[in-house]
Amino acid sequence: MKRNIFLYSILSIFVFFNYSCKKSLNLAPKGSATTATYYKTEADAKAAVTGAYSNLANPLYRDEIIVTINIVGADDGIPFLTGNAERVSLWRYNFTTTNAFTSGNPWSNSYIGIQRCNVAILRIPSIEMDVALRTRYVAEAKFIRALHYFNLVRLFGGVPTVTTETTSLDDVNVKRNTIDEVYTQIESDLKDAESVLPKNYSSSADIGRATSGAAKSLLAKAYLTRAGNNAASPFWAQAAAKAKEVIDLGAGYDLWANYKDVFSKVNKGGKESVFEIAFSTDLNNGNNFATGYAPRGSPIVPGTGSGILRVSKSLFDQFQDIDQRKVITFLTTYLNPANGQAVSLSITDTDPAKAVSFWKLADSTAKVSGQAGKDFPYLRYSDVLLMYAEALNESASGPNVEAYAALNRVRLRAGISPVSGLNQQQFRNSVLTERRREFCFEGHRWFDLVRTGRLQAAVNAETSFGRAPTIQAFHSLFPIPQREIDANSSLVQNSGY
Amino acid sequence: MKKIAHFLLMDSAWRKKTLLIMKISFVLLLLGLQVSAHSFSQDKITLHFKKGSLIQVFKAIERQSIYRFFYSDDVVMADKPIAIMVKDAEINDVMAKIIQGSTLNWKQVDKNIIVFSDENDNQSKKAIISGLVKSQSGEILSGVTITEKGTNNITTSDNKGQFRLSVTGEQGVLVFTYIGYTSFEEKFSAGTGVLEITLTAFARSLEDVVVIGYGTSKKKDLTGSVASIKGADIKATPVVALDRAMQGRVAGVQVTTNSARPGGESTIRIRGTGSVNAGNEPLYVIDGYPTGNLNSINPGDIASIEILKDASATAIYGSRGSNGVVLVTTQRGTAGQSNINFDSYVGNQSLLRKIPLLNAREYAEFINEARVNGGGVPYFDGSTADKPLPSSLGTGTDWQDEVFRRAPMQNYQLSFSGGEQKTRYAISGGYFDQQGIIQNSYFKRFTVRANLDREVSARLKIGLSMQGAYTRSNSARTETEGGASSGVTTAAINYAPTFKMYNPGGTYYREQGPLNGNLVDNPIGLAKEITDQFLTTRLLSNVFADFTITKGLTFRTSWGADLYNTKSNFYVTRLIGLGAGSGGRASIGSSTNVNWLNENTLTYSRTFSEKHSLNALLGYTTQAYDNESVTANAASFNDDFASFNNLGAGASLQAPASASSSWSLISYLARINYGYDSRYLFTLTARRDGSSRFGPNNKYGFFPSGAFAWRISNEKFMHPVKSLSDLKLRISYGVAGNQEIGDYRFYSTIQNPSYALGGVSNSIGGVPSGIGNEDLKWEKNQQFDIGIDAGFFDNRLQLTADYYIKTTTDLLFSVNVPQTTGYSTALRNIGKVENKGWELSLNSENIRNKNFSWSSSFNIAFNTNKVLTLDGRPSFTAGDGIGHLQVSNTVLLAVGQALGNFYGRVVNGIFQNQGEIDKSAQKTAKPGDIWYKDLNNDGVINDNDRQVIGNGYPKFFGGFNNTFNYKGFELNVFIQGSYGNDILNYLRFDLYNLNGNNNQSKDVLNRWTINNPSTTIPRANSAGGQRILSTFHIEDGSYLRVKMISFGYNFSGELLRKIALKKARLYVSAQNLFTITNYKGYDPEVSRFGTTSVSQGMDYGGYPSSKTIMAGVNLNF
Repeated sequence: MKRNIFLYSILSIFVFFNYSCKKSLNLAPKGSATTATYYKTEADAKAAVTGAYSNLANPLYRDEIIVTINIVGADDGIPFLTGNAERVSLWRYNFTTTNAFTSGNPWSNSYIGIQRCNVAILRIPSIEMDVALRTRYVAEAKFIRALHYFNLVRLFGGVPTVTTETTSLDDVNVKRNTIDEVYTQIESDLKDAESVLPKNYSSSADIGRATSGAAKSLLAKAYLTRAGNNAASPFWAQAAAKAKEVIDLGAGYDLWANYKDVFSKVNKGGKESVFEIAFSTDLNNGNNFATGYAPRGSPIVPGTGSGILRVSKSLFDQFQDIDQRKVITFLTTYLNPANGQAVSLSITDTDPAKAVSFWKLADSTAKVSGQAGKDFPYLRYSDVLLMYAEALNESASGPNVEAYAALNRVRLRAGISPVSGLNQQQFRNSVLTERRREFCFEGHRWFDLVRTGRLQAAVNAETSFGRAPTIQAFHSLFPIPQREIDANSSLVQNSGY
Repeated sequence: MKKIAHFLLMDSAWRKKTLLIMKISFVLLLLGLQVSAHSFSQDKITLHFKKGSLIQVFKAIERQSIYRFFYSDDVVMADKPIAIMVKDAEINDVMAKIIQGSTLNWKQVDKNIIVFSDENDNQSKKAIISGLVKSQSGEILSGVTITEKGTNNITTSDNKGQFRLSVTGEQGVLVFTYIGYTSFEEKFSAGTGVLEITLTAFARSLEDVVVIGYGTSKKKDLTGSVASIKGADIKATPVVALDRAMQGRVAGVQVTTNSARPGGESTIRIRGTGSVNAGNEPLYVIDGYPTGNLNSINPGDIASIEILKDASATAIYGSRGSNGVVLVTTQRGTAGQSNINFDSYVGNQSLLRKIPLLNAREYAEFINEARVNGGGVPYFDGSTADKPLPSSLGTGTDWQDEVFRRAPMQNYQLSFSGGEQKTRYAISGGYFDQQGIIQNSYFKRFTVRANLDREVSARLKIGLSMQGAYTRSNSARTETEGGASSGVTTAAINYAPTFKMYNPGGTYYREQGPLNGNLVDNPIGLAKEITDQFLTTRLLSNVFADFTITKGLTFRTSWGADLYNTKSNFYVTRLIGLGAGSGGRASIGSSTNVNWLNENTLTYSRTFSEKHSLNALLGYTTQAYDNESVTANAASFNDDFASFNNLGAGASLQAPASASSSWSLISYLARINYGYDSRYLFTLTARRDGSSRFGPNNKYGFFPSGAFAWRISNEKFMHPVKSLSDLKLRISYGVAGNQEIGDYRFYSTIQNPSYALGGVSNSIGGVPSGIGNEDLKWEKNQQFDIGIDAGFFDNRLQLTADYYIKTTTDLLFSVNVPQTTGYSTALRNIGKVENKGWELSLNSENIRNKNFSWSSSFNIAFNTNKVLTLDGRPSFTAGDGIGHLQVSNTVLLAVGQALGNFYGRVVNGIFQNQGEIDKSAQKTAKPGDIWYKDLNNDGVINDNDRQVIGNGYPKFFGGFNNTFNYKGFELNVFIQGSYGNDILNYLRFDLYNLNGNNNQSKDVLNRWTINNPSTTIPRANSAGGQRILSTFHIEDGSYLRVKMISFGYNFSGELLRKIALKKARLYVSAQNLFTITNYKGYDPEVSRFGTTSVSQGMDYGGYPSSKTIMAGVNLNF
């Protein structure tokens, strides 16, 4: 009997544990929600949109990707030659389909951003919350999605336009859409965004969110890009009209009197800012524009400067000494804090420690390497003015008064003399040169050269430091990453690669 | 009931008479117990026999009680019908009645009743023989049975090894028997005084008990492939950690040190690599507790390590068995022997190999040449003090000499073990301190262990295994990316010999100019200015109770917990670049890990009709694990005073982080071992595991296996083959699993990236982290094994050979998905990998004399690996790269090929002249440049000109151990090696880049110049240095190494006894004394990327290996 009791008690222990432990196999993460439990509240909706904003900062606009392409891939700067080999091969135009700068990074990070936007656009409408806010969040996500597709279509041409959330591996082998189809998607998103988004945000915590002005400006730029170098394109007129809408929007846009105020940390989201990528100092949301671009080994930034890029002589020579943008844009001398001695930098010395460097967006208050806090100006009001001037010049077969006014407003603020009496071609060149001076380091140059059909000539003209570029016509589109071609048999590589 | 079969071959004339004695002594020894006449009171016996045979009566008692009877033929012959009627009687009373009036006598040993004939007992005793028994190694042997041949005169040696026996004859023979030792006969006569007897241990006894999952088995009864390493072997050649103890000792177990840093870990592969993305490390089971963290285990506490290799052995561990199982058993107390052991060694470590580099003058000449060839002007032109002419330079700074040092290591262990029949104990305390050969690095371990066993009653046994450990280490900065984030090793190799160590003010000389193109930091600063501590505390304890329900049926329950806490402390000062960028940077982290385990098993063990033996096991176990961790960082300190101790003093506080995760596992297990006539052995096992790690559609997995063994040597037809002492054929097939992918992987979780909305605020986002997969399940590993075990010449020569085919299916694979999905990979069960190979191990006692013996063990294993399917792609490149080198995806994974294939260009040589260039696909090259083969003949050299250029896994590997004993001297020589593995030596991208960014290998003196048409080293060229993986960077990683030589002396005799020592051994040993290899890095035994299966055989900036000379002592009181 005693034996039986023992056996029964063993048995009951078995049964008890069996029951209680079955449940314990269903463990869910304690530190994070899952897609099944998330997207239920207003806070979730807000976070979904914040998540979409966040990958604009890191990694896309933090330093390496868009800025690098537009400087090294064009004619504005020279990479540290014994540094990152892929950056050097972009500069020399002998890159392959596995290059991280031309292919891997922009492709993957844009689609990460697009997926985040898709999730927000599709999930937020079913969340019970304030309707106006809900609509605005969706519109913000559409703006960001359009921004990504605009980068993709300019870098790679017709890319797959994915507008659904990926929840399984079925149907992931998408085909490429045409360039027109991508622009149709961009236009559709931006038109939705411009009709919903506010002109301004009243709360300072919302500074940095997309506005209707941002959507319109981006749309203007999309039209301008689509017009290409085709004088007969109807998109010139659309670009001019959209830029005019921004100018007349009444959102308070204006130029700062001094060029340096544009990039001042206290003027974040200020009157000249149409849309900017937000960074903050010292926390986890900083950028690398100080340490990364300071002269190599220079002790003026947290750590010492990496000297990723140096300024090309052809860019440097575009600036007259009276141009107030010159001292803001470049570092030509610095005081060594250790001994108080001035170190003067050179545009030609091969020593990267003595190279003139990009300094426009360097945050001198940063204490931690790679955590500097100046915002990245994605769209500025001066850009709207120059787009307007350019589009008018093209659509009206020559500069009119408004076109001169817009261009000269930018020139006068910089402290250089206004232009007048130019024919259409001269005005076209003048606008493009002004854009190079006004926006260098802001991620426009390569795009401007490609859309105006001038890339090959510009690259071949900038040959300092033994560049010897092997650029050809097909290089105006970058190769789709090889890993992507490998993973998706439906994708066709751009010609030439 | 057991009738004792003959267990020793004896002279048949005296066999009958001595048989009984021998049998009894054998039983006594087997149990290692003292004779006790006291009975246990639990069993009351009721018998009703009017006329029963003795054997019937014994059987009746066995049925009612826990007692078992042992008796000899004499007893059966004396068998007369007896009458006995008792009710609820004690065993003492029952036995008294049974032997009443007969010549029989009985003794009780534990639960065993031994019945023997008493008739010889009355012979007169003539003389007393006394003496001492010890082992060949000088160890005192207590409990040795000494019998006078031909009589039942018997005694045992006491715990000083001494014995006294009254003998019956004027002269005769004494027989000494002891478990694990060859029996020994010594003649005596009246004049014989004090004898000193030395017994020789069996080579490897088939009676040895080996630990298998959830139980034990005699070696001869094994049906699976199980290898065993004894604690004595581990002690003979001290190792710093448990995983090293397996290196070269067991066929098919490959041990590669990932990092030679103190406290560094190893990659262990049992029978090849089965998984691509999931873990490939074996499951470690410490005293029955499946867990990990080997660094906190004191190797000195280990009694044995068993390695389960085939599916028959591992399937009992189900979802965790596919990579093999390592069972670690720590020492437990034995009754009757009180031992106090003190073990200690001290050693001195020094750099195994220094990489020859250019000195300052050679370097300056090289730089000048590179500048000129690159279209520039000489740098060292004598124009300024910074740029002296090369001829004025000496050897400069030897950075390797500056950062490496000789470093001491020491180990102390004090242990106590012993007990009496019912209570046994083994407790120990240990301290281990290894200083590293890079300044400022160390590993220290403090351990205590207590193992207790108690027989509460004849039915109930309880026990405890407990260990506490505290480890503390400081790591040098090694195994990092190169360039600006270089560690000590890479910096020491890159930093120019023309640089000075310190500035005039005493700060580190930190040159960031063109002579330091890789931007490495001052190596001394990297060694001295970084604090990187890792502290662990651990309590691993497990209690069990064994309850005998009825004869042969035992219930065992065990409850345990593994509490493991870690703390990390990091600080880098502002004196080097790493800290200067943030004004000093501090980080602390802590994690709490709780792992608990409950196991319940029922075991039934019985022999029927003598020929059928059955052992059955049923079990139910649950295990769960919780982890909580937190880290905090701060930067921008006013000074470096507080180090990591005051994060609040940092002006820039970084966002803190915390995390938590859990897993749980519920398992049902069963095993049946059936043996027929000790000839045919069958094993069936099955385990059903439920794991929290897998998707709701596949929570449970089932893992069966079966095995058959045929002991051919027990067949009658084999008996004439006298030289063959054992022959067994084993065949097994089964399925085991792998679940090592981390927790919650089937969920699509929300991650929280942040953004600076509003200019300053940290806005937190919420985005999906991946594509969920509710079908996620086990990786399945099917293994077929066929093996033989053979013993020759009384098992002096033993051979084990195995052939296996292991197929892993449903690989837990990170499938590459189009990034248009927003993700790069998704975890799926897809792909198939096959490993097959064979293993051979030989153990031999080559010479066994009274004074001299020589024994050898040798093992070798061959494995070939083949990918059968991948995620739908025929091939793709993968593999970890080194950031600053911009070299990645160096490994080709292709269907039909092996894992670990390096993929790159093929060097055809060095261009010697323009004619060769014109013929080649590199029209712009110059003489002296590397000439690549245009593999696809398209006239262009690019990524399409790549092929497999090496493989990181060996073709075969093995070990060879020799032990020589001469009187008290002992010499152990252990050789170990690996053949056919290549190493992708990333360091060559620095040391042979010839572009003047950094210092170069001494081989660069032989670089190509017009006057030195080198065919191996290209020309110096400051505009060159393309980082393209080719055969230029692949080296042969084969090596043969004298891993350990140890020479010791075992003291014996009066002197020891006078100072109360039973045994004393002094030894000196040398580790890694000598290595034959063509490899040019620090050490061919390296794995830069740890245990990852794709990126094996790569080397960059690791902690260099050392050789160690040590002296040690083992004292036994």
